Amino acid sequence: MALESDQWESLAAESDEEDLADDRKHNQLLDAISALDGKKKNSLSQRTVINSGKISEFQFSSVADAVTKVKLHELVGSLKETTEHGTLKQQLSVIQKHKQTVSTPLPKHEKAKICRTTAYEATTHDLSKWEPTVKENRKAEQLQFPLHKQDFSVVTTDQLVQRFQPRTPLEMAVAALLHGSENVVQDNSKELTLAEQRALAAMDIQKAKERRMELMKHRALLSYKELKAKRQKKIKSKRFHRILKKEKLKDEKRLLETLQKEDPESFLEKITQWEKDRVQERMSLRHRGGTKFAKRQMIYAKFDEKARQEVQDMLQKSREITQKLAATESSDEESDSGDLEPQQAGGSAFVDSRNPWMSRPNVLIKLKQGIGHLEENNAENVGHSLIVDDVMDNKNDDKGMSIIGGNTSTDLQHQKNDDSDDDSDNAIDGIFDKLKESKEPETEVKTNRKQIRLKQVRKRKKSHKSDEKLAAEAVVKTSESGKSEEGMVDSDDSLCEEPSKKRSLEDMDALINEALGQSTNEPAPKKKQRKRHKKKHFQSGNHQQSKPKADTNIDPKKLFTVDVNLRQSSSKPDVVVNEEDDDQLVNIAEAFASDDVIEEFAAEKSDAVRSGQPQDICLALPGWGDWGGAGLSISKRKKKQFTIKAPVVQRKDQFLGHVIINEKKNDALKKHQVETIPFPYCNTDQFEKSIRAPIGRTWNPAGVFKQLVKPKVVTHLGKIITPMDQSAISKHETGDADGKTESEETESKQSNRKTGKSRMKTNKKHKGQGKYSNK
Amino acid sequence: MEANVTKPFVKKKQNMKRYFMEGDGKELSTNKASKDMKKHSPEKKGSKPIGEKRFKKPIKMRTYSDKDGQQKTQQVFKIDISKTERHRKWQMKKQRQAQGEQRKLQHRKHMREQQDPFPGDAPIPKERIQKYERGEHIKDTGTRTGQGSRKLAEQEKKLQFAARQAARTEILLHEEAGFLEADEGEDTTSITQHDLAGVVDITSAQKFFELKLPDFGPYSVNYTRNGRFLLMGGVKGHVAAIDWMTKKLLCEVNVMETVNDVKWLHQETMFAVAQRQWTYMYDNQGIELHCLKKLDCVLRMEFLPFHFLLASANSKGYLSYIDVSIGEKVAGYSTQMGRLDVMCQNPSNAIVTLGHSGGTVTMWCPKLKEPVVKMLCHQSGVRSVAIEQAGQYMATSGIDRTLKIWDLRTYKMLHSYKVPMGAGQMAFSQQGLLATGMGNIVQVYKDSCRQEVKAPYLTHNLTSSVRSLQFCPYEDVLGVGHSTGFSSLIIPGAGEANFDALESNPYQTKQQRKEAEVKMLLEK
Repeated sequence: MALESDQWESLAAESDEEDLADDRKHNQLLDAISALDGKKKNSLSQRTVINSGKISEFQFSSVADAVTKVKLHELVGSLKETTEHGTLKQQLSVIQKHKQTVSTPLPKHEKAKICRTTAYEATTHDLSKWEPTVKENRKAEQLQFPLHKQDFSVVTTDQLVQRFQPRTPLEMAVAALLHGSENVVQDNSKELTLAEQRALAAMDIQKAKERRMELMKHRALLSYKELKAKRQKKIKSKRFHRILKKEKLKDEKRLLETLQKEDPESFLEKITQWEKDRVQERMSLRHRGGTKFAKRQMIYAKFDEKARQEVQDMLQKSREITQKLAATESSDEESDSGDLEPQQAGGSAFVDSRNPWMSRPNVLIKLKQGIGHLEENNAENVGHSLIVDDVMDNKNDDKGMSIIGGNTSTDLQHQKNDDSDDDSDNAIDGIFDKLKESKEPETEVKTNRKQIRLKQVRKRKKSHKSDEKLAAEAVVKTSESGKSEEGMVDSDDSLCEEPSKKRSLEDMDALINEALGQSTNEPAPKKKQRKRHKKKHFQSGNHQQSKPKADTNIDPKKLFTVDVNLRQSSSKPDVVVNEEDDDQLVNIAEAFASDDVIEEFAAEKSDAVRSGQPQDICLALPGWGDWGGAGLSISKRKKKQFTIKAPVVQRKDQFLGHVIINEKKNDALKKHQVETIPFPYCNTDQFEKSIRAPIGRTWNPAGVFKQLVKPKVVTHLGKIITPMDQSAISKHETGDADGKTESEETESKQSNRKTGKSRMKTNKKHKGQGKYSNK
Repeated sequence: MEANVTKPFVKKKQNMKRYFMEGDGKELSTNKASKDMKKHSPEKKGSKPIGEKRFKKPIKMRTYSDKDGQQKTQQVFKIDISKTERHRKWQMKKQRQAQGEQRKLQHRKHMREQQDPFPGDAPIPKERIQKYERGEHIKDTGTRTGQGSRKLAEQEKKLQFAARQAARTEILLHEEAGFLEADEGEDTTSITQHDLAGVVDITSAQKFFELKLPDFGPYSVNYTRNGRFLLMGGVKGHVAAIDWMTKKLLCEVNVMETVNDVKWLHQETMFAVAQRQWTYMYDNQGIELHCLKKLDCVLRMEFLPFHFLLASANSKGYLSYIDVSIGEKVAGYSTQMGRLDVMCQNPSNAIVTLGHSGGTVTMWCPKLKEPVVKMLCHQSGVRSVAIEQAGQYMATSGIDRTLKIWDLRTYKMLHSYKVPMGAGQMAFSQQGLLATGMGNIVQVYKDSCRQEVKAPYLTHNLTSSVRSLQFCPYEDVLGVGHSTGFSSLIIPGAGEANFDALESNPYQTKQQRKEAEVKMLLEK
């Protein structure tokens, strides 16, 4: 049946389709007929819309028509008649009650726009979370990547215990047991377990107290015993052990006594045993009283005369032996002490002689020279004579290198001359007094000369010579006044002037003799030299008064007018080739060269100045507004009118007549110069000051240098740098809070330990962080 | 009987009271307390007998029978352990220990609570900081951007920190330069080298020595920058390099040619010798490394260590610079001023200074064809020039027998001295002492730049005329090359007392030398 009905349905559907097809065919036919008259029918009409007023889901309906508007009740009107579809009816009634038309959907682009704005806002909000982190990183002096650092702090057992949570069934079981047990301390703050507490509570107070006291006593006793045992175990004292032994012996003694009374047989037995022991002991030939045997023997001695005697003998023997030993010891000691003294004495002497700091330093290195002279001189003046000899041996034909060290002790000549010095000093004083007298007129001459000095260079020479003459006269005078005195001076001069001269001890003696005025046979040229030296010596005194003057404009001519003579107190070149000739040459050079040197230089300078100075530019055109032609010159007025004057360049050496400073610009340097102020700087001052200090290692301490060249970013080789994730933000946000809590914890922990100052510090930290988080 | 004696002891021990028997001398009871008693037996120590003070009351009298059957009485004393000497001692000890412990605890607590009496860094005097500051601070750190301002402020802070730190490191410069000071009526000039060598310690005395080399002189000398090695070149061809402190010879050769000048290059491994025709470079074994044909007829050389430049002046008036690191000629200019045999460098800025026969002194830098500065210093030819370490003062001496001190900041003359004869050689020490060689005399002037000196600080007469002079860096030593060899003289207060081992280290090892060479090149 069911099959039949299905077939019927399908048949019905087919018949419907056939109907439709028929309609279409009919229409086509109609079209074809109408097309016969040659008019083309509108193709649109081909599409036929059945406008039957019926509402069908397959057909369009025109909205414009109010009549054709769909009404719900029309659609679902049939529902009223049916009893089925209860829920649907209900829903419909609800819809009908709150009927509101759905607003028209926004155009697509509007919708997209809104989506975009909302998305933008959301992302900005998301991204703004990163802002402080990024800012912080930008501000940071140095970033070390990877940014996240591992925590290497050591975990304590307490922390572990706190963190521990039982997971495995076994752990759970154990934990449950422990947790449930009354015999385990649950709360750390309490000392007693629950069971103990209960037990205590159950007991009578009095009883409890007693019990506690007993326990205490017991523990105390135990501890005492323990302590004592420990102490005794540690004792290493022989004496203590001896006492212990004695005690044992005493015990034995007492036992013996009792045995004697109560059991003579066993007593005898024991005695024979001891006899045996004694014999054995004797075999070992120990004669001291401290042995086991001796002690027993002593006990025996009470009952046995013989034994007593033996003990005595033994002691005697031991005493003898010991006495002998003592005697030898004492003799040894004596000999020792006898030896000691000289040894000590010798030791100190030895130290003295060996210590290089204590001994007189004698630094003399000879490489190739023979040291034959050494043997000839006696020990005292080894050092001195060596020096003298070395100086003497200058002429030695040794071609190799030789090094002479200075002798460290005072010069022999000075030592030997000490006696004569006093005498000769007085003599020298006398001479100088006379020299001073002759000095005064000379200074007058000098002052005069100064006034005329500026333009009269040659005259200065003359006056110089007059000075010299005066000085020479003075010297001559003094030499006339006493030859013996001069001799002294000579010798003195030779002493301090020419230490390089060859000398021997014989020479020294001769010098001393000379100093004493016994002989004056010096070669004439040397005297002359010395005289000249004297002259210069006191010229210097005059010249010292003049001082260079600071002048704004230094004239090169004036430059050479001020000289200060140096006091050549003790030296004078003596090995100079043709000194006289040289002097003359110099004089000539001075006389002739000076002026043209200066003039030449002045000319050179003016040239340099001219070449460096920019030229005026004359723009006057000849013949413009004037007569033109050959031989006609531009009038001065016009020239003046049309000339562009060059700016006057201030030279650095404009006030320094004797200096030419090159002021030409160097193109090579140009490319290294900064033309405009670099970006972040506002003014030149800022920029210049920012590069004012060098940052190199050469100019800075090592630590500073490291600071100055610290790189902005540091990466470690082989370490993966992952991009920042959300944790970085959260750390940043909560980091402060975390920090706070940490610091608070630490503070609370340390509060009872730390003083006010440190607490203040932590507070400060707090504040800073607070501020930061507010930001 | 035995039981009688021992039992009470055992029992009473538990109550921490001890009983013992004090017999009438000979027989002692065998309880343990007796042992204690023995230990402190007063008879042995010669103090008071037992029982006199400590045991006041006998608790009871005990009777017992002797071995002979006689009845004897014994007093039994009760002894309180707390009153025994031993206990007292023990107690004292405990007390002391407890006190010690307490003190330790207190100390710890004190340390914990203690406040630093000098909190923070040690203060540095303002003047000292100022010494290391380079110009004024930036007052306005506001730039065009916030970031820029922050950076500028940070940098400013760093620079100030650098100055402070530099000032702080002055504490490391603990060595001080000393000088000779004469007594009243005496003069340092009169002190001879032998006197000095006699007074100073052995090591310093060894620094005064003389090398007698009469055959190949006169010698020109040169020390390395760290002052450790000495190079000598005799005019007749003898060239020798020695570690002058140990007197160890590095090398010694005869170049069989006139030697005009010798100079160490950047380190003691190489030196340049200006010979008759060309300039040669040798290593410290005396092996010829290069022949610089570009430098001919050189009379004087200067090595500029920071630029690795070898500046040389020749007899034809040509000044040339050779970069020894790349082996190329950097610059060469004809000075047009004749023979150039007076030369020195400004150690502070590597400007080469030449002295000329016209009394002028010219200063040169390799980038300029013409002299940077030309000064007229003397009326006649200049014999020698020397520039102080800081580059502030210059000393010149001329044939006109004057010695002049110039301020190189203003180019003005400060002092002019008349000397017996023109100083042929001059040298400044690190501390500013000026040494002059006049004929066979070496004179050293102290503080001749800042004030007018009246007399030399030290003088020394040599056997022959001076050819060249140089103060040894970081040592109080003046090296003098002369016709008959070389003299090393002690000049107290000449050298810089503190050396910077990173800059130039007299005690440099081979490894350090190598490292320094690389660093020098990198910095160049």
